[in-house]
Amino acid sequence: MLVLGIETSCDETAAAVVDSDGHVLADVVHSQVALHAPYGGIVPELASRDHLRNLRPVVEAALERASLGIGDIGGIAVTARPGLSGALLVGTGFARGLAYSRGLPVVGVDHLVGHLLAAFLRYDDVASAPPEFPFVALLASGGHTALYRVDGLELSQVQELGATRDDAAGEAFDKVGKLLGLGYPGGPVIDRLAREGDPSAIPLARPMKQSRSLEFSFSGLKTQVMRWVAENGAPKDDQTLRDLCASFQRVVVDSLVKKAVTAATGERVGTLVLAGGVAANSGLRQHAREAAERASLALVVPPLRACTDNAAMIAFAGSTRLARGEDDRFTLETSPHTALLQVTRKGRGRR
Amino acid sequence: MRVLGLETSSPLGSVALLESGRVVASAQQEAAGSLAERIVPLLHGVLASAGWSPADIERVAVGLGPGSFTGLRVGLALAAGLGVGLGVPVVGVCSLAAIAHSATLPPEVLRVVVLDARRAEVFCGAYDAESSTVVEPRAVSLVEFPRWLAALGEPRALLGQGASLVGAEPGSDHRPLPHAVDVAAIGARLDPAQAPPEPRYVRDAGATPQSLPTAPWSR
Repeated sequence: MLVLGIETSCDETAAAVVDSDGHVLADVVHSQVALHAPYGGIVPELASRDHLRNLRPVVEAALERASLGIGDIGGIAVTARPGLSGALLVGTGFARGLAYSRGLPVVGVDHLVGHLLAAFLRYDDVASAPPEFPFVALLASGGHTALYRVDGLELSQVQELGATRDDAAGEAFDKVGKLLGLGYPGGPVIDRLAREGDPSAIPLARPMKQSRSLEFSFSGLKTQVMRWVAENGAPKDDQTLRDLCASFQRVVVDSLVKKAVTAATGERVGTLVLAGGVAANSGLRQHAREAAERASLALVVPPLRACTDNAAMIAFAGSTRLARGEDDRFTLETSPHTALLQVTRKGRGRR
Repeated sequence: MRVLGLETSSPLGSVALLESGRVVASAQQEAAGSLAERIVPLLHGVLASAGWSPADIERVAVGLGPGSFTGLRVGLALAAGLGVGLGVPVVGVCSLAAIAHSATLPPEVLRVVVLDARRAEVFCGAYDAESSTVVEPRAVSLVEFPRWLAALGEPRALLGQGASLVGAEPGSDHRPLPHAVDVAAIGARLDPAQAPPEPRYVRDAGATPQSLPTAPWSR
């Protein structure tokens, strides 16, 4: 069955066509990054308006690139949660209308499950080996940072092992980027500068260093950088800036990788999967590769376009339920919260 | 022509089917908060009562606001999806014009439509007997409204649920909130090329760009 995926939960308007094996026939993403950049973060109302403007052309472009008509599609999968309420309404509203008018089934997908299953997507131009169940996945993006045990393709087979207590990893990059005057989003710039910096030049403490907990915390690290700038002044030359970026990135990456490996060994799984936009970070990729090798774990890092927000992962995550004949046509609901059971309560500190 | 009308910009969501200008079926639903989930069942019920299938729809007409931002997304996103699925034109209709359309007034009377826009403002616009726009819809503060109104010609009638906010008696000869029946009727005679389904938010998104100082080293 060919599944049309629709994703509008945050700041990317995306549509994709994927078959039941995860083979991606078309994958179109319209990013709103430039729209939100002057505001230093995502403005929900602007995001919703932009989704509404672009969703139809994005869906039409996806069908065209796959050389398909809507008549070739067997079902629709749309992100229904978690995300910005207004943004989710655009994608689900469109999906409802499209599905109803064609008599097609439509299923709502949890965006986080989409990310966790992105490693199963297969693209024509990239060789990839899908992970084997069970695996542990590190999902790190601008909105989420958590570790999951994944036993199968269903939402009920995903178990959160620990999540961030405060900021998401990507959020920490954005905040430090802003603090250092590097603009928004901060991740890609910091990654680039960090490559030429000395990660041990500026001492920053790794968050929750003593703890064996699988929870993360990044807000204190951001404060450490802020304090360093307050005490030493803004980096006076390019090399100091590169060193500061490298030191900050090293600590974030260390924290993510150490806990991911701890989780994978603790769960006795053989595979670690990276997911989410922060998986684009070159430091994270390299460090995870080394750490996985030391721990004898198979590491699966999906191609970049599968890590960042996209609709192919949504289509694939929805395809299991669609194949079973399920249909949310009259019952599709949106929610700002994930449907996954959460073990970490954000903002509550030690449990 | 068989036209589906959708109107979701106010707390009263509605769906209507028109054939050659005649109302075949319509339904409405209060409680805007849950409209997103209820609009397709509402549409399904209306189509069933008319004995139509979705494929019988030859045009979709959708209310563009001004009104609730959330409501507009519900209606416009649904309309876009229906448009792609059915391969039919989607035309946008000003929601205030829909109210003007519902009034029975002498042709020379200017239809001034007023809706509550919260924050001590009203959405207002002026329309002629053909429901064509005379003054584009906008958000006007209650304080500014008398001056805005005074600039309009006479004779005129104040219509819409917001008329009472500006000290007028809303007449009982029209629908005080926009309805899909009127949206469909106006939409049936619009040229799709001239009436794209672009929402009339009227207000900006309420965000101010940050004036972040550029770091000296990033130049």
